[in-house]
Amino acid sequence: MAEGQDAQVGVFGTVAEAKRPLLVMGTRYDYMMTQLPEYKKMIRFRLYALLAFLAGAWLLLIQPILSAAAFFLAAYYYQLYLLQQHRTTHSIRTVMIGH
Amino acid sequence: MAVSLSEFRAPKGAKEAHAASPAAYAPTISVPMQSNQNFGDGMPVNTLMTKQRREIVKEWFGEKWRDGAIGTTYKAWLYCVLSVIAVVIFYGINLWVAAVFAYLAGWFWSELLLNYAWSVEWFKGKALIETK
Repeated sequence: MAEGQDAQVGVFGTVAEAKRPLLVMGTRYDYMMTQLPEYKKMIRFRLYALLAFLAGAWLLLIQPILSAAAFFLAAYYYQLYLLQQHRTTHSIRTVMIGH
Repeated sequence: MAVSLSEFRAPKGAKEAHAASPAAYAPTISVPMQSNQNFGDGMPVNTLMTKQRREIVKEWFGEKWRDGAIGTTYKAWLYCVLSVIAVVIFYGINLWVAAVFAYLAGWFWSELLLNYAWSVEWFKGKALIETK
């Protein structure tokens, strides 16, 4: 769905089976404080993946055995980075804020 | 023969029909949360903006100075600290250069205060509804 204010959004929920509230109201501050750690994690995992990849490339020249471990860590943190991306900057979860 | 609901008793052999999937028979509800209609002055008819989390996150945690988000608060803090360190380093070398860094430290501190006020403090009183 295209981003923007004019997007027509609806909530489709199975009312009879719902065991938790469909909508929760709070403040922007609360929501930001719940999302901020996830966003920070995303940035951190991206940095770890990059550093591990660079370390692996460097170790490949001097100690190839250790470079395997470094590349493993690079792939691992890259997957975690993608996961955090889906939770934050790629999430299509609906949020309503007042004008 | 008409039987009132209070007197109705199910026949002995009657069994409740079980759906293959209960969710398939459950009623669903559609709540349109945003209207595309506008008032004459251009204001939307509803009082809520419906957005996606990715839009919110990109808007609030951004790093562009003009957006004034929480990301710029962190950035302003970092630049302010670096400027203060530069002042200390250049104080004994060249006072004019140190003065420039002192100006920058004050500038970034004011940016920090402004961004914190508009992207953190101001948000404390603003309602938000999230879907679970």
